[in-house]
Amino acid sequence: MKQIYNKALAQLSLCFGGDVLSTNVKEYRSQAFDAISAPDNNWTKLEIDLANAKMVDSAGLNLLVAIVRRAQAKKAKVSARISSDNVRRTFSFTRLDQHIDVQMV
Amino acid sequence: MGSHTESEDAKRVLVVDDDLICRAMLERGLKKLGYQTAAAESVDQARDRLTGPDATRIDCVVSDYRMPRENGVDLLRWLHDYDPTLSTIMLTGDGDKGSIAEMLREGAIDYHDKPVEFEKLEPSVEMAIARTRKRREMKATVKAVDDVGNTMSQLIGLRQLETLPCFKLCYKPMSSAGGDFVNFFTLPDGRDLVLFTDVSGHDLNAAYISSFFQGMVRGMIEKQAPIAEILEFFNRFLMKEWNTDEATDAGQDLVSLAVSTALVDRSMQNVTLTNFGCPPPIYVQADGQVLMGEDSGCPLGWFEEQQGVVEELSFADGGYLFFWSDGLDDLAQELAVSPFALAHRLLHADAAEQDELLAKAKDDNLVLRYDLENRGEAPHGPQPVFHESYGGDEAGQIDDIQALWQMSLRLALPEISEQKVFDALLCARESVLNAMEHGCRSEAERKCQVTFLFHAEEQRLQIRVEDPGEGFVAQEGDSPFSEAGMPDLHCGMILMRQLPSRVESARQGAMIRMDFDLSVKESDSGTKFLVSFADN
Repeated sequence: MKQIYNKALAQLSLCFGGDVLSTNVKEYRSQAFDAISAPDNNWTKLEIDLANAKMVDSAGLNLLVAIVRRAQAKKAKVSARISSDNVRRTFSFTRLDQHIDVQMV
Repeated sequence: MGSHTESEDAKRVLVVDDDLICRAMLERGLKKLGYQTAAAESVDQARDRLTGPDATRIDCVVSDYRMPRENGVDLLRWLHDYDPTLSTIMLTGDGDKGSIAEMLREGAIDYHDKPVEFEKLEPSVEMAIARTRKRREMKATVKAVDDVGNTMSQLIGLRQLETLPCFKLCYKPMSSAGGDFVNFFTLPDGRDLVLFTDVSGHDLNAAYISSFFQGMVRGMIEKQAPIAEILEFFNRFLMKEWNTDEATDAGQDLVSLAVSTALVDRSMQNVTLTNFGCPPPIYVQADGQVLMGEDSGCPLGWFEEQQGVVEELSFADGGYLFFWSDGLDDLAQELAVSPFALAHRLLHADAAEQDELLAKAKDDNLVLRYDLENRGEAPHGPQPVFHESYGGDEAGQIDDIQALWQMSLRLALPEISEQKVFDALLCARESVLNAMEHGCRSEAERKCQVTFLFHAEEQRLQIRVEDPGEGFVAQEGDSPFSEAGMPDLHCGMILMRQLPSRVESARQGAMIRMDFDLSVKESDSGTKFLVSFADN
């Protein structure tokens, strides 16, 4: 997972390389949580970049929810970049899109 | 040099040259070497000779390259289409060197400079004649194989079988005469016998053994011999006549015959399946439940005393039997799809599509669906396009498993939309992971079963997942945010209830059926039905 901290925008971006699934959430989780809890970043916006994801399963959704909750605990605004209509539908069915600003790219 | 001029084995050469003196010199020189000759002064005249009554008696053409109107390459091109078995040698002059590559590319097997040196031309002509004769023998053999294949098809009534509505069949042997065959008999007592055979190899030898076996079965059945005795007899025959120790010591390949039979008693609504080495037949109940035999047994011809694998089935509710030869399993593996998906597609494809699908096949392919209930109508009801069991410890392979589902769905149901595939895959993934973790407790020996069924009449895909666990009652929740703790199940359950058009469950979710309406276009709407069904 690529992490980009934009100081000017006070934004942390977590870029997922592809699908977020039961088979890779463990790896993503530790990287995402480390990035969120890093002490030297002073961000107020969190961007979850899922532009390369074509599928997010329940384990992936749970990870995203956990990330969102951690970000919200820091009073940060959360957005997601999505390119797949199926991922957008998944967010819609689980109402995750009511907690994240979803941007279709 | 022996004379060939009068015997039937005479070697005949057609000389083509527009120059009268050159033509005469060539004929005279070749005759001196013992060849019979014919002559043509142009490509046009050569064509007349080669299409005339004595055309097949010509074994070789020796043609000048440079001639008016049409040259030697024009003759080669015509021969390539008309008779590619006939070998041609080209004669070139000083100015023709630049055309040699073209001559060879168009099929000339050799070339010589003019004036011709006969001591150099003779071995070239000998080679050309030998090559022509070998090619003609090959062509005759191929025709013989075709004839044998056609005769076999007629003898065993394969074409007639294709017209019976209770059968759906795809048969593609590697050559015209193959070793895989299916036959159908109505016995004197009214029972039906489906006989499915696969002889080792797919050459003329295999075709011969298969034909012999089919004929023997037909004769013995007319004499009212029980099928078990017929198979036992043929095993003894193979052991004593073909697979003797002497034969195998001499390096002869073991001849074996895999046979699968279904003895169908419609009055009692039962079927006896006997298998000697074929992939086990598959019974699909009218409600789509798939029952697979686990054991194939040994083919006939391996051991003196051997028993087939026997299974008894009741088909009170109808359903049908699937048979396929091992070539289908191999091809499915090659294409990275389920054999169910491949069988489904082959049975519904036209001949051209079948050829395309079977382009990578390395063995005969025979797929048969036989309707157990209704002999008057074509089989209907749910058709499996995927069926597999997974151990509880296979959650780590779920991405590969999902890829196999995807490939299988794409092959079996090419018209299905991208979104429906996504919905089906995601729901199957969620329910199978759930079954592996909870129902199978992540233990290898506890298996969950996954079946994808296509209901053609309703344009509906149904995914069934069943595990051996107790199931459980899930906590209801509208959103992953509605509860403080969020187990994986929570989101998975939401997806599994939202994406299909209908969800049924039994045994507290240990059996789940999810329906996807393929006739409905993409939509964001969620589940319409959530019902329970009885565990039969």
